[in-house]
Amino acid sequence: MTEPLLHVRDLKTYFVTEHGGGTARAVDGVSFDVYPGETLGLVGESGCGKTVTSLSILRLIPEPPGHIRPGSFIEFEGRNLLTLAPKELRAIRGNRIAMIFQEPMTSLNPVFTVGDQIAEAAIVHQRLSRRAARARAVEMLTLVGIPDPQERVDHYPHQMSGGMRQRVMIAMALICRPQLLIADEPTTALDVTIQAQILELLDRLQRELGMAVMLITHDLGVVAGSADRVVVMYAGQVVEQAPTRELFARPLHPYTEGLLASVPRLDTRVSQVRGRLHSIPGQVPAATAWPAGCRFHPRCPYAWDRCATEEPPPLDTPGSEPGTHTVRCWLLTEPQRRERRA
Amino acid sequence: MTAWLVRRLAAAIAIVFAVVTITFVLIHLAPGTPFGADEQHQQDPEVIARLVRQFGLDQPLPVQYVLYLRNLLRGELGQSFSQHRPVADAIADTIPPTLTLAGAALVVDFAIGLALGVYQAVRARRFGDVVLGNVALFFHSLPTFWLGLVLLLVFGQWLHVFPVGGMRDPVLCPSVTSARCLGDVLWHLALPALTLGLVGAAGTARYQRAAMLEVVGQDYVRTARAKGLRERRVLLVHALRNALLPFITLIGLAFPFLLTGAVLVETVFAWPGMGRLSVGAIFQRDYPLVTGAALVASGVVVLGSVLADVLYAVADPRIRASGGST
Repeated sequence: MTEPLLHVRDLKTYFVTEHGGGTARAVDGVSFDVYPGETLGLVGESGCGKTVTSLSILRLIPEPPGHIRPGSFIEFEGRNLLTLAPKELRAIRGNRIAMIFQEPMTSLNPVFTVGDQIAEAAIVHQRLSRRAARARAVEMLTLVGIPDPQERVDHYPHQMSGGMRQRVMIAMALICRPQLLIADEPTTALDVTIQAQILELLDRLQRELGMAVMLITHDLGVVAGSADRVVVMYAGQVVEQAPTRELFARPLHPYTEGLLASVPRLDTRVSQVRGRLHSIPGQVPAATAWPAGCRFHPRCPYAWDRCATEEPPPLDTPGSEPGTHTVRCWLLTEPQRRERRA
Repeated sequence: MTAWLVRRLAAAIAIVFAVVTITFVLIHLAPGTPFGADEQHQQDPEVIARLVRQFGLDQPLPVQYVLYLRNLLRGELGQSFSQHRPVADAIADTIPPTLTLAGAALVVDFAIGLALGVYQAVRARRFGDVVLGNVALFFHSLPTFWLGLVLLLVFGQWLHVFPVGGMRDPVLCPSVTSARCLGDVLWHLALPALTLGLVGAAGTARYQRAAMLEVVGQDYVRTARAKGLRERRVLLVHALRNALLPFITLIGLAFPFLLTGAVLVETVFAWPGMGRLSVGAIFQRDYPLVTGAALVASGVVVLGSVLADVLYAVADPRIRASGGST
């Protein structure tokens, strides 16, 4: 297998909460890899640590209250991003690794034209002149499918719709041709029809530019359509990771199972869903007090005593190459329990 | 934009009219008369009676008011009792000194206030922020005239670094013509401008700190960091440009502060400006001069706030756009 582009090991990002609420362990020992040119989907409910994970990669966590624990490791092109000097880190941000955010309404600066904002990264990283950078900005607007780019380049964000602004964000992120694009819920704030357009655009640009994409979303439908591999997060940990096809065909963690069952599907037999949509009982626990043992056990239909006391490590699934499909669940050691319950 | 400007200017005129009316009534109702006898000057009752008749002060107040307004519409501010010359001339002489003082104070106020506010916001809740915040609060709560007296005592009387009053040296520089005299004026300007500016800067810093703090938490600041910009550029270009928008409103608010402050500071430093002129006029019951000064001062204040709104529209593309279409 090829070398991973991004290699995250045991990432721990904690937040000190105010009013003495304790430490929120928002991301608590997350490990995954992103390979060149692939799309990795990062899925989970709100509050599971997806966004904190993505912000940690570029060290964009506000500090205080947050901090990345020593012992965490994020390797990109052979260097640990967590120990880089600020200057070296800046050379990666927006250049080798770019990011787009959930809210295109608030993520663009209201007092600068979109052209200036797109061109800025090219001026800083590629040392282009203002003129050249502006020409590049127009090219980028064309690339992301904005009509009349010559005119639009001088517009302000408030003169554009949400979908347009997200296209501008994408143009801004891709102007330096990054190796990795981190897209944090890029379509959540948009209308459904616009969502599909933006996802198609990301797919096309990925093919044209050959970059890797880390797609963070709570929407399994989005993942099914675009991701090569999926990382499922729950309570600050990775609970299951697998190639997309395999994950949808054979979800092994009870949480993944629950997530998939809670997506309405047209091709499922009615008898299987009994006319009602499944939901996972209970709520994500607070990040200041994760449950002991397996963090999902209070909500798990299969849980037994071992789950409440012992935390399962990521286990390889039988029948797949080591590291390709891992699951944090004791069921893998006692698969007969699943049969019995079913 | 034009319709909006016309509405704003109409409101401005109404406000100035109200100020003139209130000032006119108050100063006429105040005890004492312009030609009253004091210890030094024994006036002949005959002379007083003639002056009262000559200036129409024997008429009922409403009649005087109507006459005053009629003259005002013709552009006449009347004759100053105490200066024996037209009110317009008396005021015109004092406008340059006051504008010089207010302008210099504004520069001190905004330069110090802005730098301090941004620094405090970046260091929010750390040692430097807390210390500077308290120092600023101390200056903010000082009465302007008291700070003026202290600076005067320390730098003028004890250290002899700055002159104790006036706008220029009456012997060396009877009028501002040469470069040397410009330097002399600046030297005289230092203490009064510092007095007025420091008290203002303390308030400006608190305001700027809050505005900046609100902005640094915004998503677009994170976007700027994610682009790989230097922290200085993130804060001073992406954040500050947004934090300056509400700041422009402060320019409008600064005018009344500077003008009222000027009344006290000009008196302390014997600065030949409008503030000192008004104080003198009030004590001498120089009715036309008091009313005229109030008219000019309120006009400046009101125009200042209109100017701030216009600047705001120029600086914020969102307002510019919506203002243009309506």
